[in-house]
Amino acid sequence: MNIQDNYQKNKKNIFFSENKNVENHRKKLISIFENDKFDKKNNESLKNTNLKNFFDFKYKYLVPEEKSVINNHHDNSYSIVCVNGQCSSFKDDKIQITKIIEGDYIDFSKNNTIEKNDHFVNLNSLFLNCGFKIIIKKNNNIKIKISNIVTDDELTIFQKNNFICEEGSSLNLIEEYENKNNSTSNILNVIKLEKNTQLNHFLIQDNSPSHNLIITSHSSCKKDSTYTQKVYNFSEGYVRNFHFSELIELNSEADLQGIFFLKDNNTSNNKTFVKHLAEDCKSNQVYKGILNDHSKATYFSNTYVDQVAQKTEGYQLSKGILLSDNASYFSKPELKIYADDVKCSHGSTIGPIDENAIFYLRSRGMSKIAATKILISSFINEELSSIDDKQMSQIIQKKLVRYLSKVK
Amino acid sequence: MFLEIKDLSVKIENKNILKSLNLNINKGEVHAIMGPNGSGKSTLANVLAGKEDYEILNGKINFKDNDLFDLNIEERAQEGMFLAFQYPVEIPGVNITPFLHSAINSKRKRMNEDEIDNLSFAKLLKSKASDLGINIDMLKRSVNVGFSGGEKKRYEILQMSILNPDLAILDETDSGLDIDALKIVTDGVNKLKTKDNSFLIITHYQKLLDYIKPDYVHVMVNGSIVKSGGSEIAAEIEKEGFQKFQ
Amino acid sequence: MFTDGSFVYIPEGVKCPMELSTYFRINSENTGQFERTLIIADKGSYVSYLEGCTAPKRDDNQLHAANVELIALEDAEIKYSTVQNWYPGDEDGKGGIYNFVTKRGLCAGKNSKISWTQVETGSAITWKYPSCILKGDNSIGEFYSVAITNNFQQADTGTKMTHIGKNTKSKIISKGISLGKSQNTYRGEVSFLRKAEKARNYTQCDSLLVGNQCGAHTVPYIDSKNNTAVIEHEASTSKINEDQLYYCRQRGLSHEEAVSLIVNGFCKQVLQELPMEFAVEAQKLVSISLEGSVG
Repeated sequence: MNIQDNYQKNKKNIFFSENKNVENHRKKLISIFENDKFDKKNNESLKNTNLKNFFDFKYKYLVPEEKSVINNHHDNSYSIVCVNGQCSSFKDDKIQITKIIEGDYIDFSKNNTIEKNDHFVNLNSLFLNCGFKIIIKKNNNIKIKISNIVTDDELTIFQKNNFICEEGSSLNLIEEYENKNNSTSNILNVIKLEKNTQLNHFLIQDNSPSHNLIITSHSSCKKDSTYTQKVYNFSEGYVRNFHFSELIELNSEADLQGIFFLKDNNTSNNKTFVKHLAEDCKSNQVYKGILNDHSKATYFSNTYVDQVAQKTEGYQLSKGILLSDNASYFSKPELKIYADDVKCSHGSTIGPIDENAIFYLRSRGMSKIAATKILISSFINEELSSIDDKQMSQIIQKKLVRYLSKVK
Repeated sequence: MFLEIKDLSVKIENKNILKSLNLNINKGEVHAIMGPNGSGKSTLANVLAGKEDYEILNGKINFKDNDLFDLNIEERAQEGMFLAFQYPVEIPGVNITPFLHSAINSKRKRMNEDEIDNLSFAKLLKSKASDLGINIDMLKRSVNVGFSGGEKKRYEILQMSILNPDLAILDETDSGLDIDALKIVTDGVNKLKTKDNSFLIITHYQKLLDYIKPDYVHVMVNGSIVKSGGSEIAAEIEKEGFQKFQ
Repeated sequence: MFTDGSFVYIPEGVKCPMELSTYFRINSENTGQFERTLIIADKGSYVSYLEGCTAPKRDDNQLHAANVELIALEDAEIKYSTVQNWYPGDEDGKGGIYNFVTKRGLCAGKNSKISWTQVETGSAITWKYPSCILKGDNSIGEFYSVAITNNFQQADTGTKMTHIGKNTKSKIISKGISLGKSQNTYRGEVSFLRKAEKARNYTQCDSLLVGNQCGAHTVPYIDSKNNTAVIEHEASTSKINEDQLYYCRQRGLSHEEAVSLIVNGFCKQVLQELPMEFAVEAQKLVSISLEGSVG
């Protein structure tokens, strides 16, 4: 079905369709869709994706029956169950949770860091049907865990969330995506870090083969703030992780990391993009992937350094291990630098597991499979050992063991 | 006066490092500056060499009848000042031969002397290197690249012996050297010493001064020289540390 | 548009004893030059081919759109070196050559080797991606590049290494230096196709920025479809190292000499790939390209 028809037909269920400004923006989006050639080779958002699956879809959304729960523990931690992209409103002296509003939509539509032809982000804006906004109030230090649940088969979730860390606050955010049904979630997180804030963001992705997850984030960091994002992708279904960060004021930092474990016919598309727009900022982009069977992955990384962003330090690393003859990995680590006083570097390697290392371990009496598994674990050891949260560390370890048990 | 430092105060990044420092060095003298970490010894060396990161708040330095602050880094070097670096930087792809050859010729040019040709320079380099026990193979490598700490220091002394400076500043040249390397380095320095040149030796330990005999020893604490005297001061520090001077 | 060109054939087993040298020049105003070069190295042969390019100053832009094709058969080796010094335009970006060149090589036979070396200092705009198709088993492709841009120059250059055969190897060393208001981009693609068993690639691209109005960009595409192949890619971008400058100046070198020395050192890995006489010329060219921009 044509995207415009699809939209018109379902308009009444879509957020903000009665708002004029939103409608104007959506008209532009529709014309982008209609005029684009969907060039898979040159459009980074389309590489390795099944166009029919994602752009010729049947729209379906259900308002969740059960209102989602928020538990306020005494240790400054909150558990949120987000159902079909919605969670109940909540307010105390530390946080405030509401539905997303039109202003947030308009605000995001002005952003120009994400490419205009990123069709998944455009779909998200066009068919937006849920989303929330969380504000962490000034000088609070809290933990939030969000479980993202999709209730039914065939659902198409288009969700926009806003996270705002007010001055001096600190947030530890764990998001879990573990869906077993045949549905698609297209989520966009817009994250704002005010002065002197810190956000540690963990995304644990473990969906079944029939669930598609498209997750995009855009974070912006003001003075002395640090955004750290760690993605653990164990999904057996399609996942797209596209994460954008803007360092807009002095001495801010963005750290975008990810590891992914692919098997069977699965595909994962990944991208990180850091824009340095102020002096004395640091960024780090590190993705590591293990690919087995017929799996495919892409990783685009990009460091952009504006002319004013002197004393920038930017680092990129991309590492892929291909365990099978039929797996493939594409990476494009890009640097665009317009300031002179910078230190930027990137490294990228793709290859099999080191045969010398396997030989060494086997000569110590270990079987080939055991050696392979040990070497896979060591490949991502740095990422795993940096998890402070014990409970989370155990969860991740378990998933890793599950993945390794299928490696032959 | 050969080198005269008068009332020198220097800061870097809002931190005052040198505070009203005074020091006089005459031709043919060997001076040692000792002091605890962070007392400003290396800053003094870098200010003399002309490193541009420092802000001169006050004071004057005279070197061979020049106002030192009128000269930039290379002009000071061409006038005969040499700094043996504490941590010599690696310069990939740059071979020592053309590097030192241009260096010596820039100096000769300033002194209105004839340039030295390729062949004579190669000979000079070889003979000085063998004096210092430096393997010819080392001369084929890029400047300081892949050298051990000891090799870098020896390489600094080799450059010093080629450029034959009037004032040589040795910034913690002894750090990271084992006893054999220390002997080679100090022998090199002693060979260079004449009645016409002077040395300023910056060190943390007294050990170096067993091999190079200073005429004067200064104790530097917190950005100023708090005591000056003969080599007996070094022994005093060795025994009691810097504590009593602070 | 084909204007002229040259064809070189190296018969089987012949090791060409001297460097074949060509010299390109664009003299007349408002013209384009569209030459073609084809080099075929038959089994077991070797040739080293040099091209140098210059053009006099003109206020208008001129076009150079050449096509170079290399074919190396079994055990053959072709070494192709370019020192490109077309007129880059003046300090305000007026005039200069548009240098849009297609260069491609086919390692057709087993154990064949093609090596591209280029020193690009001229032209207002350069678009050039000498590539190697590594079809024969054990064949080798190399790309060594120095690109210096000054004033308003733009260089967008790199390579494409397509690994088809088994045990094929490629090596890419690219050094970009940007000065003035110039833009310098490395754009390259390394791909391992399904059958490229045990293929290897090593890529290193380093950029040096001299001045705060220029840009340095690195855009590598890396694609592996074979799990026994290994790709290693490293890149760095930084400004000229202040400590190195200080060190050189402390030994008595002027600021300009120090910059020239350090930049030449930075490019050494590439320059040493050039034939002897050319290497010396290229070093001087590097120094000249830096002149006046250091302040």
